Order: sequence, then structure tokens, then C-alpha cells
Amino acid sequence: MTPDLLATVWPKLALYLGAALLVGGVAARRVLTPGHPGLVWLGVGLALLLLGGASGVYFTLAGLGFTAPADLLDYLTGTGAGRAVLILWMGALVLLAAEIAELSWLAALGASGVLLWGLAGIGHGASHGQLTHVLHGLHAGAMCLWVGGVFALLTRRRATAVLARKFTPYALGSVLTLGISGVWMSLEHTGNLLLLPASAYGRTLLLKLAWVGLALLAAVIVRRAFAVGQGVRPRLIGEALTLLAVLGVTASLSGQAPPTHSATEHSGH
Amino acid sequence: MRVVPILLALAFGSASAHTAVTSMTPAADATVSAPKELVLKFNEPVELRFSTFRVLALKSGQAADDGAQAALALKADATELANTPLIARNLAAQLRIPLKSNLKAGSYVVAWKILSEDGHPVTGHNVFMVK
Repeated sequence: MTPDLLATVWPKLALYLGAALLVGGVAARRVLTPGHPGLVWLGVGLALLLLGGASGVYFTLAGLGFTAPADLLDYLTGTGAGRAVLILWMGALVLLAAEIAELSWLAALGASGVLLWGLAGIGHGASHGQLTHVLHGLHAGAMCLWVGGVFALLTRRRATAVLARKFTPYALGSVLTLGISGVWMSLEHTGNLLLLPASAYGRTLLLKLAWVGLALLAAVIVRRAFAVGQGVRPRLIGEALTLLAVLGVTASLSGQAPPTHSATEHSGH
Repeated sequence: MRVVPILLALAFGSASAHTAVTSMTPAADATVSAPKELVLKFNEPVELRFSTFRVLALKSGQAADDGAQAALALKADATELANTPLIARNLAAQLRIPLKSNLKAGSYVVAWKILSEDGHPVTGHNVFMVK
């Protein structure tokens, strides 16, 4: 991994994986597979969120040449992107605490909302108004439910067809939310969907859509495998890996300039 | 399944800029009498607390890219700079950079490293000439 790739992709990928493990894990424990995944996996999610947020802040400030402790404090408290990281961390800590203390679903939902609001404020979701911010949060939440559900099924010793059927409405709801919010955000960031191939951002977005298509195909194959009761685990691994690729492309996408942000005069980069 | 590694490889394109300088006064590549200040306008608000702006006279035959790198490596109060130290800590879509008086004739590079509103760092530069 090159230094540039490390600085742009790794922090976001860690944040997305961490959110999927923590938010998706809590959701799975409460509605799909009670008590599973274990709290240790939720802790891994929190660690990834802390690591991803910290490395993102570090790479940003190091790139700008502001690395004094006072710079770090000013960044975290004085800029929108810095405050978003703090909000994300606070939501993550409260969510894990709520799960350990077995608080009501309302507490978990509220903490998840805070976490996702912070996540949506890091990157493109921060610069197109409140509605786009909300859509980024919903998009991230839906992805967490899908990935968290697949992870719970994959790591459970005996994933049954009954569990798969129980997960289906949540997965379909997630896909529907991802589709609607994704189209809206794409229009917001690119201006015209027909012009997607004309920009690097648009091409990466199309690549993400291709991976999402593969993930949907993998999900259908998994459901059929559950129905006939054969070879479920390898197919679930395939779905999980495809979703991982979607998260990787999304991390890459969030570091690129959408066409609506592009330069208009002599800006050498 | 051969398509999977190709899709993975394509996924990780290089990052690019988000905020851009949409106009500069004096204009980029313009030849003008010694200006007293520079005005930069951006396509979206910029976090000035975490942004750096430098104006430096280009040496004879020096490429603008090299000049911009050299300018950004200098401290804010370096005597070589053509601008005076700038103290700005707010979020703004326009910035005035005061210049030292009576700039000598020659080419000057205006270099910046800025933090966009959505937290992405961006670097760039323009050149103008003093007659």
C-alpha cells in the first residue's frame, strides 16, 4: 500500500468496518441472533473506529503541516470534520456501553444515530447541507445492517434457514434504503448521472455499483443455498468478501473529488 | 471470477482535490504593476486556521512547481517571501493576502495548502508577473 493510498483509503475503510461491526453487530444481537456476535467483536468495531478516526486526523494534519498538540485540539473542536470525529467516538462509546449494560433498544438506537451522524460528517456528507448529511447517515446505517447481519450469520455456528428468513426483511430494507439514498447522493455530488463515466469520481461510483450488483447476486445465491440446505458457509463468505470490496471502493470514493467540487481555474494539484 | 481482481485493482484510484481556487486577483498568468495584495476566491469555504498561503519570487528558470514547493517549505515570517504574515482562523470562501511593498519585476508563484470544509487537504499554485 503506497503512502497516499494509506492516507486516503485506510482511515475510511477502518471507520466503515468499525461501524459495520459495532452498529451492525448490536442490531444483529438485538433482532437476529441474540447474544451473537460476542461483545469482543463489538470491541473490535470500537477499536477500528478509534483507530480510523485518529489516523484520518493525523494524515490530514500531517499533510497540511500542522502537527502540534494545540493544532490537534483546534482541529477536533474548531472544524466540522474534527467535530464529526468526536461525535462519532462519543456515539461509539455510548453504543458499546448501552450494549454491555443491556439498556433498552431506544438507547442503542439513539447512540447508533449519534455514531452515524458523526460518520456522515467526515467527508462529502459535510458539504452539501443537512439533508445530504442525513442521507449519508442513513446510507451508512443501512450498510451496517446488511454487513452486520451477514457477519452474524457467517460467524454463528449453526446458521439456519429460519435465521436467514428472519434476516431477509432487514436485508431488503437495507438494500432499498441504500438504493434510494445512493441515487439521491449521486445526483447531489455529480449533478448528472449520465455524465458519470466522464469523471474519475463517476467511474469509481460505477465500479461501486458493479460491486453492489455482485453483492446482491451473492445474497440471492446464499438465500437459495439456505433453502436447499447445502454449502451455505462458502457462499456466505463470498457475500461477505463482496461486501468488503464495496466498503473498499466506498473508502476510495470518499477521498476523491466529486464533479460538483471540481476546479475551474489553474489549480495545480 | 477473473473479473474480481480487476474490479479490486480499479477500486483504489488516487485521491484528488475537492476545494479549488476559482479566481485570483491579479489573474493567473497576468502581468501587472506591483500589487499591494492578492485576492483568492474558492469554490467552497476553506478552514483558514489550517491553511497555508505563500507568495515567492521565482528564480530565473525555476519551474512553478519547484517554486511552489520551496514557498510552502518556508516559515510564515521568512524574509524571502513576497507576502506579509497572514493571521486568519475563520472559515471563508475569499481571502486577501497582503504583499510587501514595491515588489520587483519578475514572476511570482502563489502557493497554497488548504483544508476544505469537508476535511480534505488540497494543494495548488498559480503564477503572476510584475512588470
